[in-house]
This record gives sequence, structure tokens and C-alpha cells, in this order.
Amino acid sequence: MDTRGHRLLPHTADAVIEAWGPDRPACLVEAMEALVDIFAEAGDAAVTRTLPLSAEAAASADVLVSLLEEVIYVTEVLGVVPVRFHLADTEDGGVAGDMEVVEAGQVELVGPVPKAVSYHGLDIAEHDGTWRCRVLVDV
Amino acid sequence: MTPSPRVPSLVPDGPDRWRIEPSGDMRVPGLVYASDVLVEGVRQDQALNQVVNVATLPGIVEASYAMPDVHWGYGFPIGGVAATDVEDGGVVSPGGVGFDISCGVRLLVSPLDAEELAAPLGSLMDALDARVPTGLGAGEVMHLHGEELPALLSQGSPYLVARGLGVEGDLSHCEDGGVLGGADVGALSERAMSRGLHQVGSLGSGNHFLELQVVDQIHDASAATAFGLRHGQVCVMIHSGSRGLGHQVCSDHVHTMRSAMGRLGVAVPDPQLACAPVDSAEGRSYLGAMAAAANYGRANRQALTYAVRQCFAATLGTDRLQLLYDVSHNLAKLEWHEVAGRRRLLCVHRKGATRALPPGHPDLPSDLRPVGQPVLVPGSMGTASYVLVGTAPGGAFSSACHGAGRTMSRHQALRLVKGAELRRDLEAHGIAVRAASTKGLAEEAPLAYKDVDEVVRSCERAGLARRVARLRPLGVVKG
Repeated sequence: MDTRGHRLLPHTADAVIEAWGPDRPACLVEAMEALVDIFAEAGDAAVTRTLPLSAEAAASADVLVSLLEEVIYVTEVLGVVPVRFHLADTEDGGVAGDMEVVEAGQVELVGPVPKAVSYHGLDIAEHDGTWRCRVLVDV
Repeated sequence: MTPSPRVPSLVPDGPDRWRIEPSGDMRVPGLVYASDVLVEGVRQDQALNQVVNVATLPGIVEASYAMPDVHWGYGFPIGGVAATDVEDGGVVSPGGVGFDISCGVRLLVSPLDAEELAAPLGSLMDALDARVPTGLGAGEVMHLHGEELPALLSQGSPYLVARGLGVEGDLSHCEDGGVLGGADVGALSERAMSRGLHQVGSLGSGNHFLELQVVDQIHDASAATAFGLRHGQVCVMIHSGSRGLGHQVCSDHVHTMRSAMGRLGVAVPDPQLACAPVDSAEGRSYLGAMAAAANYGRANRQALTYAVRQCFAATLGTDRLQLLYDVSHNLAKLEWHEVAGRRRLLCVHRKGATRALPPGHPDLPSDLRPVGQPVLVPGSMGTASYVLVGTAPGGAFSSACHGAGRTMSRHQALRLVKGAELRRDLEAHGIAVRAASTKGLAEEAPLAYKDVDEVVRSCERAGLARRVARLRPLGVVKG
């Protein structure tokens, strides 16, 4: 298996993201990319702006939920779709970075747009040098 | 998140009813309504474990119920009903309502027969496709200014009807008259408000849809007549909810309750079951915010109704679409019920379950009271939908199913079905399709769902509700 990546797992009604990476920021970035994969194919749409992205120090589960909720929020309210994420740990235990976005009208809609993040079965942890998470999102 | 190998044991407990005996931390048994056919599917996912988890909620009374369309949700199963005793420390759980607060269905009946729609069907579908916002960032029917949103959240559908986006009958035939009391706009975050500002009158995506349907079977002629339904009649079904605003309310209050549970002395087996006593600051705040979101949901369906009437008027020369009923299937309500011989105030959670009031219930409008509450059951895309009616004594605090219920993940459906093929197949069966995403269409393929005919038969055998009419689709607008 690649050192980083993501995939969608079966769930009867909604969508389950599994993501992994060599460190926590990489795992979180993969999870956000998986979230976007559920509903959009950006193709070669041009990036129009870069938005700040951060989560305060908290349990990793809460950091993950906070970031995914941010992606959902900007998609819905600003009408943009993030296509590239940059993220690093901060000294106080949070994460900070940015996301490059394209206009929603420039992407192909390929599935239902996620609207919320659930704590049901949520798991994020480091095992043998790999950070891995599973999270269910409501579509 | 793979299905647990330890599936709770089900013991037959009457017609189409199964019992899970209390064990561990369960305060009440689980009661699952399902036929022999449906119960085999129920055993395949984690829904039964979720029925068991719900049975541990503080203050729960009678049982943790599952409707015949039950399937794996998050925290609560989808198709779950649970009531807690408010005076006995009973809790309210945002997860027991779901993210899409007041997601629900309304059915409009037209004066037209299906034959009259045959020629103009394509034009009407094009008009609906152009007028009804679907998918991502596609706009809204009712453009609001920021200062108008609080009034809409407090007043619900009457806010729009007062502005000419509906008629009086739209209110009397909507659950709660279109407005749930106790809305607390101050309990909504800025994020919830900003997500709601530009979505009043939008369908959304996922399993939400707008369908043109025809009544193809009458099961109960007397009730059908009382509901204004006749064979061959064209109807419009709208399935949508409170959009981003409702989801944000749920997310915000799950966060709040997760933080407060330790202090409140509440523990749950699944974090998405986060809850607080109804009679606590957190409980009251959630119920106030939930009522505001419910009013948004009803207003959203009202705005969509306005758009549908405009399309009918422009295409067919009539906007005489009467609201048969509008009912939510994701809601918690404070209701009086008799439990163990005593009337108690209960917080009844219906997560993917429809309230089904029996004949004579005082909460029904006078013209429906002799018959019972219409229960609207949308099928999967391209299959039948049903109108049922609440019966006495009913079950599960007067509740019934809310749809066909998924059996297959979106993931599996996409592997087996291609959106373009599905569209061709539906159109070959005379069903016109307009979809925001052709690829996304496949996720809602009929094979991903249970057999809705079997689900409603099971409801009837179990005494939850009775079939009145079956409707089949003529055209589908999908988000």
C-alpha cells in the first residue's frame, strides 16, 4: 500500500472515508481529498483563490471533524471546491495551512455533496509510523 | 465500520414484529417491525446493534423501535423510533433526529389525468429542471435578505404563504400547520445562518427528489376519496429537508452535548448518540434550534411548491395543485402518550420514521381527522411510492416507515450501475429524468433499495399504518 492515500468504504446510506499518511497532516489532507472525491471531479479547472485552513489544538478526532466541516462549509457557502490542501502541525498541537479552490461551476458533479461529519465509528490514530483515519460523512 | 459479527438475537413477537431482549446496559427491549423477507436484510448490517445502543439512552420508555425500512445509520439506525420520559430525566439526542432536521415529504394532487400529461411531459420536466435548484450552489427559489431569515425560522411556512408563495390549504395540511412552536433563533450559530441564507427553495442532492407521479392503485377507496386521490391522477411528490442549515444545527449541538455529557452524568455507547436531558440548558437549546430548522425545512418545501405551481401554470395552464399533506421523517417532538397506564410527556425521536396519527387525533385538521393522518412513503427512484394512513392503536408512538430503505451502499451501486444506463432504462419505462449529476444518479438506483411494496405491506400487517394508494413515477428531478 502507498505511504499515503485514501479510499471510500461501503456504508448503507452515507459515505465512509479511509485515509492514511506518514504523519498526521498528511493523513488529514488525504481525508479532505477523499471528501471532495465523493462529489466533484475538478479536471483542469483553474484555481481562483487560496483560503486559510486551520484547526485548534484538540483530540485528533476533533481536528479531523473540524477540517472536514470547514471544507463542507466553504463549498456550500462560498461556492468553491477545494482541490489542493497544504497543512502542517502547529507548535500548540493544532494544524494550519491553506486550500486552493476552484469555482463550483467549473467542476463536474459526480455524486451527492457531503453536508456533515459524524462521530459514529470515527477513528484516527498512528500505528507503526502510519497515521490512519476512518470517518463517516453524511450525504 | 464493517458489520459486527455479533448480531443481536431476534425473537418473533407477533405479526411482522421481532424482539431483542434487554441485556447489558439496555434499559428497554428492542422491537423491530419487519416481515420474514425484510428481517434477513436487517441482519446484514449494523442497524440491529444501533437499535440496541439506542435502548441504553437515559429515560427511554417502552422500547427502542425499528421500522420495516430500518438500515444502518450513524448513532441511531435510520428507521428508528425512541421516546424518553421528560419527567424522568429523559434525554434528547440530535443524532436521534439526524443531520437533515425535518427532512420530509409533501404530496401535491393535481386535477389532471396521466393522459393529459403525456404530450407536455417533456416540456414540464424541462421547466421543472430549469426552475428547481438542484445540486451544488444552484441558487434558491426564495431569495432572502439576512434580516428576513430569523422571521422565516420562527414562522416556517406561514412566513412564505403570507408573502404570496402559497395558499391557506398549504398550512392546514402541513404537520403543525407548517410551523413548529418553540423555535429559538438565538440557538443557531452564524455558520448555520449563513448556510441557510441562500437555500430556501432548493432540492439538495443525495436521495432528495421531486417526482411527477400517477396514482396507479387504490387500496382503500374511502380513505383515497377523503384524501382527494383517484386512479390515474397526476401528483407531485417533493422530498427535501432543511439543507445546510439543519445539518449545521445538528453538528453544532452534537459538539456541545459531547462536551457537556460528563458534567451532566450521561454516558452513551456511540459518540453520535450524544444527548442531554430535555430539561437541561443543552436540551432546551437544541430543541429550540431544532424547531427553527424544522420551520426552515417546511418553508423549503413550501418554496419548492411555489416553483412547481409556476411550472404547471406556464406549461399546462393550471396551478391548481392541492397539498394532500406534508410530514417530516427526521424530528423529535414533545408528545403526550400513555405508558404503563399513565399519560406522560415524551420526547419522541423519529429518525427516518414518519408520524402516523390515527383517526380522531386532535392534532389533525378537521377534514382529515375522521380518516387519520396521511403517511407519505417515497420509494426509490423509478419505483412506486405510497400514501398510507395512520391506524388505531398503531405502534411505536404512532409511527410508520419513511421509505424503501437502502440495502446496498452507494459504493456497491456505483459498481453495478452506470448513471447513463440507468437514465436510459428509466426512460425506456416511460420515466423522464432530469438530474444534476448523471454519475450520481447511479447511487440511487432502485436495486440499492429494499422492495417498497414489501415494506408497506409489512407496516400494514404490523398494524402501524394502512395502504391507501400506490403511485408510480412519470418523471424524476434529482439533486
